Amino acid sequence: MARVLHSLFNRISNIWSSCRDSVAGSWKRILPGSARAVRISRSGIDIVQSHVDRGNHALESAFLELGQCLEPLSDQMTRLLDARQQLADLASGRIEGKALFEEAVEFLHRPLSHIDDLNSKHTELLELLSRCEERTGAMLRFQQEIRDILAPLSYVEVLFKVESASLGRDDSDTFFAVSDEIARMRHRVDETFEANYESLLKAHKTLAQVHRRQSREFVNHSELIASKRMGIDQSIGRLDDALSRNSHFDFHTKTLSDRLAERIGELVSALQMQDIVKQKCDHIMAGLSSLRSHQGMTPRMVDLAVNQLESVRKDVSNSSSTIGQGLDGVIEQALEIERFCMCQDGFDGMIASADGMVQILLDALSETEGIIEVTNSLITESHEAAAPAREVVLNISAALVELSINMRLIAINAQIRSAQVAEGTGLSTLAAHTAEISNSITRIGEKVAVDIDELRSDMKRMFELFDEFERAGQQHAELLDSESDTVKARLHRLRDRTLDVFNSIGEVVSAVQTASNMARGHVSRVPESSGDLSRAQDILERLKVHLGSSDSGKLSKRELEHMARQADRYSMSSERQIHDRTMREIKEATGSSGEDHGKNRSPRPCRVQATTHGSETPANRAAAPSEYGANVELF
Amino acid sequence: MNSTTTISYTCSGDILSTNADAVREEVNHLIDRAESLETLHLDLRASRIVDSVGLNLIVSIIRKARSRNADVRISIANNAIRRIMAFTRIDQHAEVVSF
Repeated sequence: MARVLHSLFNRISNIWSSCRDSVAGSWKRILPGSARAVRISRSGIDIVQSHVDRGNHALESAFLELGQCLEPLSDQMTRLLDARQQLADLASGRIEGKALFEEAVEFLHRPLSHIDDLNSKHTELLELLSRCEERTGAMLRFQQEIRDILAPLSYVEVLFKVESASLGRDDSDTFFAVSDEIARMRHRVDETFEANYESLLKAHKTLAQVHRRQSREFVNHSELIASKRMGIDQSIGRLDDALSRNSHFDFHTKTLSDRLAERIGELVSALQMQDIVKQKCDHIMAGLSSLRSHQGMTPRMVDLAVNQLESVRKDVSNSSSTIGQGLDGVIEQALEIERFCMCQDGFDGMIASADGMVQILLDALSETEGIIEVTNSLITESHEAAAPAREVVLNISAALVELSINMRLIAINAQIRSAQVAEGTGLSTLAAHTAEISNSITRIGEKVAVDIDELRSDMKRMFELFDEFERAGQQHAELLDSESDTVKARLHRLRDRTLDVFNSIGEVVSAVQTASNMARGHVSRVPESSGDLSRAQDILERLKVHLGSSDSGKLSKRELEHMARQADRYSMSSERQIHDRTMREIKEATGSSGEDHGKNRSPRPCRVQATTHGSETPANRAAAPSEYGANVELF
Repeated sequence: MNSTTTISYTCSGDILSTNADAVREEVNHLIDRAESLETLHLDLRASRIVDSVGLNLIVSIIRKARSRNADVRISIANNAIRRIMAFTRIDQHAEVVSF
């Protein structure tokens, strides 16, 4: 600095020296006693102007680059707010979600209704299974009873042979034939009943197993479906509730947006300060130029410039500090928005969460598919397992009819023959016994026939239900197979979109931090400008000392005129205040009135005032605030 | 059958719709093979992206482990995935460890 000053002084001194001889006479006439003082003052003013100019340019440059940084920052903040709003709409289901969920629930309604229908008819199926199981058990017992009834036939058969041995050949052959028929029938009955018994036993066991499995699986499915239904209903309820109120989220969102707008407003206001500083610097420069050309520069005149420079320096310092705080605030708000988006405060049923609507519906779809598949498989297996039982029952029925007829024929044949050939003999007794057996068989057959008819009827209904269940199950399985993937894909797309928006928020927040930090770098250059202004102030202070003490007494006419000319330029309240204060201080120090001049040439009012500086008058404070709030002096 | 109490599955990359089924099969196989299971460790440190299908897979893995009374620990190294774990509240159902 000293070097610069020295160089400037030398340059001016040289210029002065070269002109000195030619103008020496004139100077001596005009300023006989203060030529050196004038020369030094003018040089000092040049240096001061150079500092002010440099300071102003440094500030302008720093603010220009800062503005270039803040422009994308502002765009990013807009993107952030838009993304946040989009996320809120997506995550709450306000857009797309609600309609999609309703479609998905409607889609699920069909297979779930099918399962409900199965459940309601399943009671009937279980009853049929229970009755069939019970009746096949009775069939088993009946077979044993038939065997017991037929057991005496083994000795009747032998006795017929023994008793007929004493008869003639023809008669003997007849009874031998009866005996053979009894033997054949017994053999046939043994074969048929043996096979039927095993089949019936197997059918009975199968029906019992099917009964148990159907009971167990359907209970499980019913519980699962009921729980799934409840989950979906609760989620839809939560969603409806959240959509209808949304107050907490919207309120908080508005608060965050307002705070962010406030922070950006502070930044914009602080950036506008550069225009103010520039205008003030222009006024100071004009004032300094006026001083430079003034023949009678006084410390009082210089003092005004010093005070004005001090004001500019404070403006620069304040704006730098405000921008720094504004950038901190922007980062803070951006992080707060990110945190808020991440936590989704106030949204218990946020659609994208692990327990949110998308997941609930995806689970419901998968589980419904699983239930339909298992149910279909269970029905088919039960159907296939129970099918042989139907065959067994038909066989038993046929065997019983055949047995009854054969037994009756044998008995009749034996009775006729014994009546013709051996009335009152053992053969007659045997024939009567055979007839008794036949009657017993007929009686039991008639009784069991009713059970068999009912069993056949139950089985018919049971298999109708199996067919119905299988057919409907197959239809729903095909429907789910063809359409479920589409619904799932749409749910996934919705969640992917939500995740994409959420990710973009993270990226924007990161970009905001980067841009804010870059802006901070430019803000750090602002003090350089302030340094130039300080140096200008120092030089003016020294110039004041160099000019010597002010003339005692009143403000001179020249001083008042200079002050009034300066005041004419002012367009800002703060400039007028500094001017007024300076004048007041001078008056207090000198006791000068100068009121006429001051009154007539007091600074004109500024055109627009929106400043809320601490020193503002109530009238100024009452002025309408700008869009961005405080701290702006508009021209 | 193994008798391990902690089983670990390391995912070689992102978990997306394109590979979710394969990952599901491998993890289910590991879980089914384990005789006893206390902790299932899902190592997603190599993952950079998890989409909705991937999330669905993670949820189903957590459920399957839970059905075996096992805890789930998820290791992640990517900040975007860490944020998604918090956003989707998976971190409330499993221990999410950031590296």
